[in-house]
Amino acid sequence: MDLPSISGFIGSLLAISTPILLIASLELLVQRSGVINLGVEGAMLVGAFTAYVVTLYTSSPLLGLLSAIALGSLVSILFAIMAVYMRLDQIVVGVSISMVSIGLTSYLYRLIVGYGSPPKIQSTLIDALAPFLRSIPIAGDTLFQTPLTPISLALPIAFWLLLGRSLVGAIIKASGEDPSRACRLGVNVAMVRTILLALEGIASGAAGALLSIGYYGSFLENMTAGRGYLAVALVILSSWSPARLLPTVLIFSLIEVAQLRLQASGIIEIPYQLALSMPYIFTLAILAISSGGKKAPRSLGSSEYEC
Amino acid sequence: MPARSPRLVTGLLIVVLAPLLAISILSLFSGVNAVETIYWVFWGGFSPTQIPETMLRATPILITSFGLSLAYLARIWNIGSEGQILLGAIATAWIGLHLGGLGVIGVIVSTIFGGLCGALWASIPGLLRAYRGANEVFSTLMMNYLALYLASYLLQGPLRSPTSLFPETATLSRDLWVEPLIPGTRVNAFVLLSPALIAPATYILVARSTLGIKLRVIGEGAEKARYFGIDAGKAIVATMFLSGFLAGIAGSTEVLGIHHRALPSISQGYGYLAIPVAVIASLEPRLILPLSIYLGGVVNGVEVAQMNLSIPSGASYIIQGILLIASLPMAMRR
Amino acid sequence: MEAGSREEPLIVAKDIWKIYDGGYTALSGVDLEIYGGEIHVLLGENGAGKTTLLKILSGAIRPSRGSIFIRGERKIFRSPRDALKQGISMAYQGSSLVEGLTAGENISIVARAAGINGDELGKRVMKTMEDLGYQLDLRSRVSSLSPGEKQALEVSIAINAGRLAVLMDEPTALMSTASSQLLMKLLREHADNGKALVITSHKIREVAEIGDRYTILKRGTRVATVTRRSLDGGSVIDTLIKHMSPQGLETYSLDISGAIDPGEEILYVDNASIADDRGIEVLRNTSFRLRRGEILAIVSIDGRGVKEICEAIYGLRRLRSGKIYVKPGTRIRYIPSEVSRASIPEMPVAINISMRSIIGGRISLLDLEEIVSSANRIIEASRANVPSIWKPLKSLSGGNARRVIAWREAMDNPDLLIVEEPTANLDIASSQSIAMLIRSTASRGAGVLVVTSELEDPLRIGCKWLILEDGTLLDPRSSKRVGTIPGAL
Repeated sequence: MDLPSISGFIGSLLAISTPILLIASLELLVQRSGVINLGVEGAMLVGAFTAYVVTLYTSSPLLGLLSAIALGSLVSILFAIMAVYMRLDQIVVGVSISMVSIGLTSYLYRLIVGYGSPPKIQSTLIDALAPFLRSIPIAGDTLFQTPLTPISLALPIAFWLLLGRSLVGAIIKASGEDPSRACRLGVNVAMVRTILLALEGIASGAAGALLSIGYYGSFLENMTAGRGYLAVALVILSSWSPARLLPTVLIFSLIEVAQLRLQASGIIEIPYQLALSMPYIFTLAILAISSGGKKAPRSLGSSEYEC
Repeated sequence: MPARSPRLVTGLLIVVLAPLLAISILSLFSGVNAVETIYWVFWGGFSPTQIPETMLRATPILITSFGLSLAYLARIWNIGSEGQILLGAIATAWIGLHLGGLGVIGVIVSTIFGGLCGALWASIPGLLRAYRGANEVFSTLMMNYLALYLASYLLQGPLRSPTSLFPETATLSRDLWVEPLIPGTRVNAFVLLSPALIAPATYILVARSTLGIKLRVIGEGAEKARYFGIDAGKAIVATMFLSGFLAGIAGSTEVLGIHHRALPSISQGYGYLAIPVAVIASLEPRLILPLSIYLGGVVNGVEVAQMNLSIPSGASYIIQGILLIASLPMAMRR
Repeated sequence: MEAGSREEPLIVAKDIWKIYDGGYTALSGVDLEIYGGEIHVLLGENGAGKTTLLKILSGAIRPSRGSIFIRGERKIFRSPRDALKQGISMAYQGSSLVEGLTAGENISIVARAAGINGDELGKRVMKTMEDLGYQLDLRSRVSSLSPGEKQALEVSIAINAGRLAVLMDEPTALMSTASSQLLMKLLREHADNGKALVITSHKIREVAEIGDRYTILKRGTRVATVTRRSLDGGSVIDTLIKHMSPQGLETYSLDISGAIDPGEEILYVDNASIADDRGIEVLRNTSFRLRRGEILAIVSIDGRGVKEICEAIYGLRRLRSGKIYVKPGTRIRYIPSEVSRASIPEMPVAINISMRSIIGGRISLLDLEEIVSSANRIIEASRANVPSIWKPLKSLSGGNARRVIAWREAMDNPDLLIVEEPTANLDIASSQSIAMLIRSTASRGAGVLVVTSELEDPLRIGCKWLILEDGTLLDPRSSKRVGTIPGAL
């Protein structure tokens, strides 16, 4: 391969990895604090939808991104209220939020756009954010379509440092290892979890916006198609280690790029249903392989604790 | 002897009111008066002319929630019935196309085959939970999406009828049709038989049998199950198999009794609607029939309201999601 | 410094009630005054409410009623964080440090909540650990420490994090005798600096020397608070024991005339090692045998290993090494210490009584007649107070529920009966009748293994007993190790 096609390949690899990495990095912190949030699928979808609608009406992708972030974190805080404060089952709350999000975005989309083919937005997030990229020294706008990509690559590294050698990291780990004991040590476990979830909502909203107003320029029903669930599963696969998360996500993105290129080249005919179901298959396979891993935060998934 | 608790009363209230509340709010988005929407929902679901259609929809909910209520007693939170129904339906149609001319035997064989396919599909998350510790809520949801794509592939590819414009199988031979028993309606033997069989069966198994107690012990966790000499792993797989079997049968009845072929939209969310019914039925089994009919009527009515008031579709997903969160966590609470 | 009555108390707890969700009343209207500069010892049996009271003072649980005053000002603690901010710290029983984190991480989390410098606290904790005879590396994970080290660390952190008061629940239970003595000395130093120290302990002898004042709790109420000055030196222990159990210890029957000739061997534990959930060995390479008609009690003074040994013999827990031989077809029944482990508390009493036959049989309709008659049989024999057999088991008091389950197991014709903590949370009358049940079960030809943390249990039952200490069995008369050679005993 020549140089341009290599950088094109890496560019599309990073384009695919960015939204998943954004969500998975924050989901990793959230899980280390003891919460498994399947609502990211919904937060991402709501982000994608909000970004699209706002951009459509204001023609400002930046405003679209900001609203996606706002609503994404709102969805996440809703999750926190139900799963952290009301102590409802985390998995069920996450699944329900995602299901309602699929329904609600489809419904509102029909209400706003109708049944015709969706109007494309005028200028995408990538156009809007291009100026910022010039400030990034190495191969700025050839590899990175938006600043979200370098951010997404930096997050796992930052979180690796955070968890390894900071008080905040210790507090997060304590909340996930043993919330009762963390509470006895003076940690406000519910608050720690809620803050992390809110941050994850921001990341999910941004990731969703990237899909709709970044790459695609429009919205499709259920356009996240299991990527949020996959991000959750990839956290499990990387044994809750930020150092392993980065390569894990990149490998999965590589598989997807390879599959897309293979399909485009027409060498092998893959039923499109198989391609679409990949995130779900991977998620299920990871659940089968890695569930009950010894490295899991000890209280992961359970909101019940006493001080 | 289910404990009658305030939990049952609140649960029941939530399950009854949540869909109405959801549809009201959604109609407000569309600028439609909520009272008018509710009127159409009730008219569309429960006016005398609509009752047969409502019973038609209540049937798969009833059959599926029967299996789920047993799983929920054992605290196995299968939410994968939707996929199990869909694959049960496709399996029934596929084998039915090979059984033309066998009449009643063909009906029985293809019903059981549909049930078995649903059961096998449900066994996968059952095995994952029992031997890999994979959370069954998460895995059955993934299985639902996989079932959806698998069905889409089968109905557009290998099983597609060459003569049809739509992705669906060919029509079954006439002798496999379970025909309407009441003229002018689609009410068939399945619709009449299921309430008569399942309502008492649920009551007996949940409240009056040793099985109900065994399932509750399984639900208390592997350690307590072992104390009483039960192999929890096997029991979990068996329970998932059973609930998948009944969901598969629900799919079979849709094919044999109503559509006479398999199509992608064969389950109108029945697998999800059965969840709240089963949650309540595991607390009070006598409510399984009224609640199935109620939710069958509400789905029916929502559809009528959507058509009459030009509210966009999609409301049913929202209702399913809200019912899920309104009912399941309550059952999971100890 | 003496605890002066002239001063105003530092902490006052007034009319403290705690009723848990299940309806269990742990504290009913306890008052407590704690002065600066005193060592205040809380005494009482298991279930007297000592731990609950400490947890309320430390903010870990909220009282159902009652108030806490610090220097006369009313405070409400929503969490341990609030208490730490006020300068009140607590060392929990065993340890409550987060196992997956390092010692240093645990310390810095506490320091932040208490509003003190983390490095500073780290240094002071290391110093205290040294004083107690332990070397601490702040970078080592808590999970890698020994139980004794964990407890010492927990106590060291609490002592240094609490500016006003330090609450300690059984701080020496897992420590060596030497360290315990060092701790007592250290406590005096801290008290002399004006801190209030509140401590609970089972070991009366240990705290008899150290306390300024003693508060004795019984079943959630305060029986008495005595000042050390009011007791004359030699009789401290006697006075305390008298307060704790007015009947004294003589009432226990030591009648063992009912013992019959031992029959065939029913259980042979061969060179077995058993570990608890955290992987710590609670029984090491130990062998013992049990015959029909025989009762053997294993007494674990610190309570460790009681549950694990029972579970291993019943078959719920894997051995780390060695073998347990039980003749095929042996009917084993097991009375665990908690009723909930052998029942579904939400289900009716009658169903719980018939649970084994319901689960053992085929799927069928419930045989209500049979269920009612078994229920009546068991209830009559156990003399449990059951208002209605169709009420949930959890509606019974703890003692009555325990009776129902104990008699269910013992009257199910066992060949081998395992009894875990036979008298836990039972009053004297109930304890006596459980002892009778154990004797009659053995006299009907079953082998009975009792595993307990109560020294009085074997006396009450009147049976052969061994002490479990540090994973090995000792003969109480000779203090010699037994059962360490395979096939011996």
